[in-house]
Amino acid sequence: MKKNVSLRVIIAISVFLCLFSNIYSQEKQSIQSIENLASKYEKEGNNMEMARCQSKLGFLYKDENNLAKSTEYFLKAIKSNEILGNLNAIKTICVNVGMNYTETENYDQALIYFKKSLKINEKQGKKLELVADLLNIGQTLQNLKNYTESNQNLEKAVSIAQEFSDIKSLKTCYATLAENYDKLGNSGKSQEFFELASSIKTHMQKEELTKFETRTKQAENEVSIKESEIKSKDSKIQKISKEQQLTLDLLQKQKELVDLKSTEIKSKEKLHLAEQKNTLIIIGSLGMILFLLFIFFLFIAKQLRAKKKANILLQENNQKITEQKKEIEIQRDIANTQKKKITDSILYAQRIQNAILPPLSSIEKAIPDHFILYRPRDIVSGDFYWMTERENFVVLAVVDCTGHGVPGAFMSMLGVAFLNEIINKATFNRHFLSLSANDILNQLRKNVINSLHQSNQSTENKDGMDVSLIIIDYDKMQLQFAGAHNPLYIIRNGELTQYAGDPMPIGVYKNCEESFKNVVLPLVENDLIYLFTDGYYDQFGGEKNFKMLSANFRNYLLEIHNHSMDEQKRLLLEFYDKWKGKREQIDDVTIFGFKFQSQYKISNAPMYKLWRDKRILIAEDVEINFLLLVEALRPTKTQIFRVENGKDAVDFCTTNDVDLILMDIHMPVMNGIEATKLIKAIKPHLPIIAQTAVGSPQDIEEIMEAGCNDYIAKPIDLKLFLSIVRKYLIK
Amino acid sequence: MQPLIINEDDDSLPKIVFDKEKNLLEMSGVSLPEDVVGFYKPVIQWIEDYLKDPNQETEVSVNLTYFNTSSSKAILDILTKFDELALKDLPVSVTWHYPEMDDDLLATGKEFKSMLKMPFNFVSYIQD
Repeated sequence: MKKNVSLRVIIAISVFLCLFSNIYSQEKQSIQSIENLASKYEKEGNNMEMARCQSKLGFLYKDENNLAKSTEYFLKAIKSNEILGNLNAIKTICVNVGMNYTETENYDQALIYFKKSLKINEKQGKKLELVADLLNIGQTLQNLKNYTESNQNLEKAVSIAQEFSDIKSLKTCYATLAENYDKLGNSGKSQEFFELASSIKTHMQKEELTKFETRTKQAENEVSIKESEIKSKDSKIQKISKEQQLTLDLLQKQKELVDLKSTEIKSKEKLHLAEQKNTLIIIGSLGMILFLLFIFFLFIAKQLRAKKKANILLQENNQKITEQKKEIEIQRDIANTQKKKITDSILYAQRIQNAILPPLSSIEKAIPDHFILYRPRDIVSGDFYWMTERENFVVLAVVDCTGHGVPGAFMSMLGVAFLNEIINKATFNRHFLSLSANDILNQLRKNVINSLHQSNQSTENKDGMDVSLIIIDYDKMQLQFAGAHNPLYIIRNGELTQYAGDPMPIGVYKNCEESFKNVVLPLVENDLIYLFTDGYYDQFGGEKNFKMLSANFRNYLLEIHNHSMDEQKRLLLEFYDKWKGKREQIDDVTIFGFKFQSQYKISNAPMYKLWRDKRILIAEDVEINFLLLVEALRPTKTQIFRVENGKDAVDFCTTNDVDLILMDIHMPVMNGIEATKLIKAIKPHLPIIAQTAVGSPQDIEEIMEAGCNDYIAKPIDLKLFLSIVRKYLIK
Repeated sequence: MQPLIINEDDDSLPKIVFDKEKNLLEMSGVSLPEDVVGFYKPVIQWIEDYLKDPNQETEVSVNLTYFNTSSSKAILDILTKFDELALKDLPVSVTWHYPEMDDDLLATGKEFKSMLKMPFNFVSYIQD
């Protein structure tokens, strides 16, 4: 059998080789032979065969790159086919002639033949084939530099190609259109078509990729199918060979049987032996089966053992994971406690930082009509404001230290300490009045550079501050300004003027030898002055997450500048929060705004002079609340009396002169509402201000109905509290 | 020379691509790292190595929308490093990108320009 197979293979190969050599020689000879055939058919007047030969020759010469000959035969073929009226052949050949002419750059001729093909297709109504013709014409016209006409043809091609979703042609059309428009100087259109072409290209690449993938998968499938076929064949062969073996065995046994039969007569003992042999065979095969079964069981047992092992491994892994989880939890708890410790420590640091900010009472005294918007990004701040007053001078600074959070806060402590030192030194040396705004910044810079050991060479430490600093001179109605990076805004008569600071910080910098500039401005009553850091308008937010920008900040200030200072603060915060939305605060925010009013001359008209002779009664049962109010009123030096319930308040008023009552609502014996009603019955003009813990509308309504003039919400906002009290105390 | 690419998944850090072979020196995004000096140290180191064998032309592109005060010092340091090329009369320039309306960012760029020798090219763009 094997011999047969190999013989067949040899025959097959030799046949194939013969065929192959035949084809090969045919190709070589074909041009000559077909030319002979063509002239033969011509003589015979067999137009049909002649036309076929001519076109064939055209193609063969084309393949050989002999374009002149190719075109010659194609033209002959066209003539012959015209006689035959074979339009399909004509249009195909026309296209090929056109291509030949294109290749030899004879575009005028090419155009004629492409148009011929187009006409035939139009006649035949073969829309789909028109695309190729129009494309050929378009490209030829492009070569003839007739871009407008080229575009007309291409656009026709596009609309048909779209209809048949022939994306390959579409791509070529778009690319050619892009080139044409580029040549025509219409870069917009050119870009548009170029993008269309490239998008189709990527689309096609993707498609090809998926095609390739499916093809690969198919091939893989086929391979696996073939493999399984081979396997099944193998097993068949094995089966067959087994069967053969069995037959052979059978034959052998039969032969043995015959032998046995022949010897049966010879000896019965021998027969007996043979029988014994048979039983041996049976026993042997049984043994074999048992052996196989044994191996099979061994195999199963091994599998089971492996499974058990895997289970144990899994359990071990699980245990490890639980252990790791525990470890992670422990770590997390450690991290949490550490975080809490750090936060607590920073919270404490915040108290210190707040303590070194100028106390509200002294600001209130020096610049009464002001607001401070101070909102650190973290708990502690790199921003701070600072103020001091001497005689009729007020020095005010708003400072932005490099960094925020803890490092920023460290810098801010340094800044406060230095500013205090500079002023104290000047006061001690009695030249405070000659101190100008830029002097302070120059000295501050020197101190920062020296204390941080900054040298211009090292790149290590460039920490510093951006500062706006002003000196208000109430006597001269004058303002001095110096700025390190930060500006100053003044709104006067509805117009905002911006004074830019110098383009250098407090700290080491390229030009840190230069002095800061000093700006001196006359002040006018009701001038609005704003000092601030960049944190407010650098905030990202809005619909598109942009920076707010200083221009928008200025516009908003102008929009709201007619409101009271407190209202301005509220509006600025509202504007900021709305802008920020749910985004993170990007930097510390500080704005100090105030209205310049010369009547608050410090030496001549101390702020609380009118308060000194006033008597205030506080009705409050809770000790701590009472102390807080006393603390708030301390700078005003008013006389304070205290009662602990409503009944005592009524008694006190009937026997004593009081200018104002701060009435708690929830008190033992008699509550604030009852007491207010009774007091108002006796002294209707005595102002009573209620203090409420929760400002629910219902409570407020009840309070006002009882006759209270106003109310303050606890915990009290110091500035608001003082302004309300002033409103009723000083008329 | 190995390119330096910083592109952390952190909104507060800038994206930095310094690639000598591709002649690309770009910083973009926002910069407010917690530890400014530590963050910019490898950047400065990379530039120092680059300056030993710079490309024929060096163009630094700064396209940051926001940087805090401490970062601004670090950025000036970076530009000052590159300015060493200008001091040796080698071709180097900065392209300073800023949103059309952001005068503050433009002013900062101009401030840096006034302190350095190399030319600055200010390019505004419209945010969308």
